[in-house]
Amino acid sequence: MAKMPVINLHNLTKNFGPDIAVDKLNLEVHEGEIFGFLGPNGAGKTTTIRMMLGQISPHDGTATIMGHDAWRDRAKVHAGIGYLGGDMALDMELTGKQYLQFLARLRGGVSHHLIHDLARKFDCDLSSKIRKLSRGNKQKVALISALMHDPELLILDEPTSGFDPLIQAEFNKIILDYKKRGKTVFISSHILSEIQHLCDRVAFIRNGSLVTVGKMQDLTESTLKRVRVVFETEQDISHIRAVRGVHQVTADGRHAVFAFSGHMQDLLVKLADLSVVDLVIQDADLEELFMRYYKGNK
Amino acid sequence: MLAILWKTLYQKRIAILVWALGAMAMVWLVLVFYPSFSEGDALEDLAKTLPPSLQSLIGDPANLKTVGGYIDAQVMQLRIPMVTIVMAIIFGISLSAGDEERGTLATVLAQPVSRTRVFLEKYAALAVSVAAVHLAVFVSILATLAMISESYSAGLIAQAVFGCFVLTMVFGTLAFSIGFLTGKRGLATTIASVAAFGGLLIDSLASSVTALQDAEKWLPYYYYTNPSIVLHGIDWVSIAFHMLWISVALLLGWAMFRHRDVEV
Repeated sequence: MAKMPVINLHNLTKNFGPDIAVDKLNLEVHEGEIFGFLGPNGAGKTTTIRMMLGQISPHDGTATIMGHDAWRDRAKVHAGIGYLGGDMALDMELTGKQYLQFLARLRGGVSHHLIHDLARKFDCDLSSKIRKLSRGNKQKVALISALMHDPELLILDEPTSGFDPLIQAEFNKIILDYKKRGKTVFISSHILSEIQHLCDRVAFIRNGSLVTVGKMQDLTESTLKRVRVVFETEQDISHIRAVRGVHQVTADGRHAVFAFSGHMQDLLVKLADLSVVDLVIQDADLEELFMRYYKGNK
Repeated sequence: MLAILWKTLYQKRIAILVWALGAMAMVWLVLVFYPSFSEGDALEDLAKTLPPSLQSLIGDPANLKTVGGYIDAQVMQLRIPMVTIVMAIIFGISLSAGDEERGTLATVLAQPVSRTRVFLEKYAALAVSVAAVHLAVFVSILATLAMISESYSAGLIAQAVFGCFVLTMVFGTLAFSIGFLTGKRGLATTIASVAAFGGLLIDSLASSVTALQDAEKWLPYYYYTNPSIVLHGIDWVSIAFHMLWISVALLLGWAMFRHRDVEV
């Protein structure tokens, strides 16, 4: 029997007055996945996450998290998840330690060793009042609060804003370790580079609707490739331009650069007729994929 | 257990202390002049020249010559309730809509706690804070009386302070519940302030405006001052009336908060 998805969004819809923030969103995330939820600001990512956390109710559809309805059984849902928002509001007059102790008491069963271990990994000062901490350090405290009970599901909404590269690397290690241990991570972002190396699957959301969802590898394979060709002598590249899937051609003497999204065989056949001395074909990164979805659908 | 209550009290400890010291200082400043007021008729004569609505605010001038009457008219009828009601409204809104607007409520609600627990522990924090300030008022009255070599029934003073606590909690609960009901700090402040100070205005004008005499009987302040608790002891029907207000406000706030969207 197939395992129940950890996250199951079914026709999830939320309106704010006349504005549709999330429109009939259907999504499944399975155990052990790192799932990227991508979209520009205002696309509906945070609204979706707030419905998953039971902070706001859907107008239609359901969000089922670990088998519990996110709105009706929110306390049960929260017992199994760790949540980190991009700019989480913390209690400014408490020290990091006091704040984490408070949340640990609310949860119960939190290991203080794990808190200290995470604080050491993130080089986080827990003795100062939170209001005195930098934005990055506040975010570290919030991240520890999401991880300190070793949850089955991590929901991270724009999590790494304010992190320096070392902490970002430590964060990536922890997320990948979560996956290794069979846990699930749902991570939203508009900073694509932080998702690209972590996620198994990604979904793109625009104006509250799902644009596409797929495996990271499939998406990058099916998308544009960046091709750079160096010819022995200046060539007439009209044959190349005519190949289906060739876009954005820039030719300059012996050099040609273009984007390609067609069958590689067709392109290679045409290139074989020309005196090629160098050929570089690169996968487009997620940034390009992202722009393709958003530019193409505006 | 009670993590939200203890955390809230810890965070509010300085504010509670400041309000308590302020209320104690007010009690001392007023009571310390009792010996001067108790001698001579000048104040009584002056009070008789005031219009009835203002006379109702200061009470029967003849009472000012007795310790109990003076405590009633000068401390417990108006000054201390004003201080504690303002404090309770500020605290009530800060703990509800204030925390929601700051985003800290959403952070707590991302933990495995029910909204009912959050609501009740925060309300308990409000009640304890208001009670602490009233305890300070009680101590200050007794201490100041000892200082000016006067005495009065500690039991009646305790009952009056308790009556004031219950009245204060009516408006604190209103502010708290509207804050949780709407999540809007401005709206909660406006409604709670209008209820508290509009009610007081109606009560003080009712003695001279016949049309307001029925209306005042629906308002909490009327049941706080009629009859005077300092002079006659607590009237449990009045307390029950106040408790009814508190219960209705609390139930409405709780029921709505459980089913509404929380802002971040």
